[in-house]
Amino acid sequence: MHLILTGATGLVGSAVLNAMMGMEDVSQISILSRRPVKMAEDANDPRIRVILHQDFTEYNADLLTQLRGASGCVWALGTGQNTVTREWVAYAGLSCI
Amino acid sequence: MYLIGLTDWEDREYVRITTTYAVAAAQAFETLAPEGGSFQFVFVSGEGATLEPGMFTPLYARIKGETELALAAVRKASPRLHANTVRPGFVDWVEHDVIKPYVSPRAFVKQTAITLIGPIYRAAFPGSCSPSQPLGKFLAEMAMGKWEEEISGGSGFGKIGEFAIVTNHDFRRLSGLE
Repeated sequence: MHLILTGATGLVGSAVLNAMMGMEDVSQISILSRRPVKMAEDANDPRIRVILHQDFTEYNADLLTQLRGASGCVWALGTGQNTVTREWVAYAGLSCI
Repeated sequence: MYLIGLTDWEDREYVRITTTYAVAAAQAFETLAPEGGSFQFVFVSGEGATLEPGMFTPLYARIKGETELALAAVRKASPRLHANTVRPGFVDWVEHDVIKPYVSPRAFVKQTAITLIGPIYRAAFPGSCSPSQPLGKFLAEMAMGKWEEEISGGSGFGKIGEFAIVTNHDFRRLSGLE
């Protein structure tokens, strides 16, 4: 099974990539990323391909050809751990008072 | 005025990154679905995302909700695109050693906050936590379609049309965390 992942340099994306690498059913992992993905480099897993992609509003024919055969995607881009963290810190902070 | 302008810019940038990118990708990936088959698109939203924002709804909660609505519309228009969303809570990586070297909190303050408040938070709101290891597994399995039958057939899930909203509680229950 060929899967697509975005947000791979983030917290949720790292967890998803780790899970995908551990699955025997996964035959190919295409990561769309603006910058290199250290975890993917270190893993040295032949199933992983990092496709450097800058404009996430555009998916041209060439890119879609590279993604051909993919049957699913985890979209973890811009999950905003920042905002979520700010939120729960505020929440937890309040609950402590 | 300057501050208002900056906030507007930040809002627009947040919308672009969150909603525009996800919708464009979902529409493009629909074309990857094989003849007679489907493509699973799993949008990582967040606990607190709401479809009915009020005056005090935080930006991310409103925009994530808007993105969910937009993706539900894409799913409706493109039946081969099986888009769904998961709303994790506080993503907790403390027990997930293998990803630790790659989790780089941008600010020292944040790191300190997580170290100090993490244990309190985990004790006070266990149901709001999303341990990163089972979360990663669950999201990957969603993309593989492994939960499709359970979720599309299940009545306990929030839905916009066929688009399912998997809450953090749902994720924890399905992953055997509670």
